[in-house]
Amino acid sequence: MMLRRLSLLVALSLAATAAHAQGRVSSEMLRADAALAYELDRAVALGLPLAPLEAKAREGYLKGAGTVRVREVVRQLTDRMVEARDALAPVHSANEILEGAKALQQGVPASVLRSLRATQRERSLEVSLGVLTELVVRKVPVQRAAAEVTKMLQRNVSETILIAFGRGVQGDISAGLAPTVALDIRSRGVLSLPQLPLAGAVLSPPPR
Amino acid sequence: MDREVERPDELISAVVARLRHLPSSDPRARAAILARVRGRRPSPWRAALAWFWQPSVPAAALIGTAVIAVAVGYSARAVVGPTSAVLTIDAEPRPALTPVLDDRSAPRLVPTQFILDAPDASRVTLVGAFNDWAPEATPLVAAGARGVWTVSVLLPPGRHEYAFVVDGVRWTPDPRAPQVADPDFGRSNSVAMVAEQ
Repeated sequence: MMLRRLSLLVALSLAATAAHAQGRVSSEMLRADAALAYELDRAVALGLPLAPLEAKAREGYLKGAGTVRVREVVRQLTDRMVEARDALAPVHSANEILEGAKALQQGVPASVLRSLRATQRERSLEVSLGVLTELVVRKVPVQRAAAEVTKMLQRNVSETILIAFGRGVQGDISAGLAPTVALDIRSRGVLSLPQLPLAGAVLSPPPR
Repeated sequence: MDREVERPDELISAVVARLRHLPSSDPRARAAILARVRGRRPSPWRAALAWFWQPSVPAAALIGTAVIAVAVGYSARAVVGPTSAVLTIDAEPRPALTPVLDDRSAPRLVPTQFILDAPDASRVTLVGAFNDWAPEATPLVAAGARGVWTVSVLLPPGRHEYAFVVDGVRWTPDPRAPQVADPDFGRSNSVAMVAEQ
């Protein structure tokens, strides 16, 4: 029994040392704040992946935010993740939920997430949602951006081309083009390509 | 010739007759020796070696049983079918929204290089969700004498937010990449759109 306790102590010390060496705020350190621990437990009870929420808290502490603000942001992210998960039903991945939550934060309505899922039920929307978020961040109107991404999903455009499209719009806007003009030009370039077979990460339904 | 053959027989008979009458030992001395031998315990190493070379009946039975069990198990497996049948049993009702990612979408990581021109910096690190915002996890190395810092990391395709931390304190977005305001904590991040080559 004594030996077992000693081993546990050594293992915990090594883990703490490794975490400290990377400057990473450990899960235990995050849970030292009882209110934040409550928010994280709530997320677990809701069936959400914990890692993105812990990462968000770490980002907050790294940026010098206070504990109250970190708690508030984690609570808001939890709520958005629940909304994204519901919108992306019936299948989704943890990364899709996170990307969906980011899209919601930028003003993409949940109905757009549902529409994208209806378009692609077998393919992961992680990259598509990332591209959509980036377009909206660059001031492309949400409905226009969602319509173009939807068209591309319907044409089975690969993730590589989707990202190139997002980068193209991003670059054109940085170069001074109006967001809608940049969107139209780059979208025309992609949609003029011949239709391709399904490509990218694939989702499978839950096993019975 | 015959006489020469018979002579050794006589000699052997004489030796045998002599040896049959061995000198008798002292019974008290014999008892004392036996008592001392019984009292001595073999060393653990000697006992282990003895067990290995001369397995006792229970150990042999145990090993034999195990061998038979494995053999029967393998035979039954071949008859009953693959073990995947076990995985399809609904032991616990799963939530309807359990995320299940197909194996084909297993990590496809893309080498991505980050560069920062920071001549006055003594230390630069990269932070992002991909390294859990750990400020010491991904240090950049100085490339040449001009103060250019760089690091390459493997990232999955998609949109990634990141920043540099200079000298452990200065939050520095990447001047080579588009930035995004952070409505949560205030300090802007940079955005990398990573695609497979």
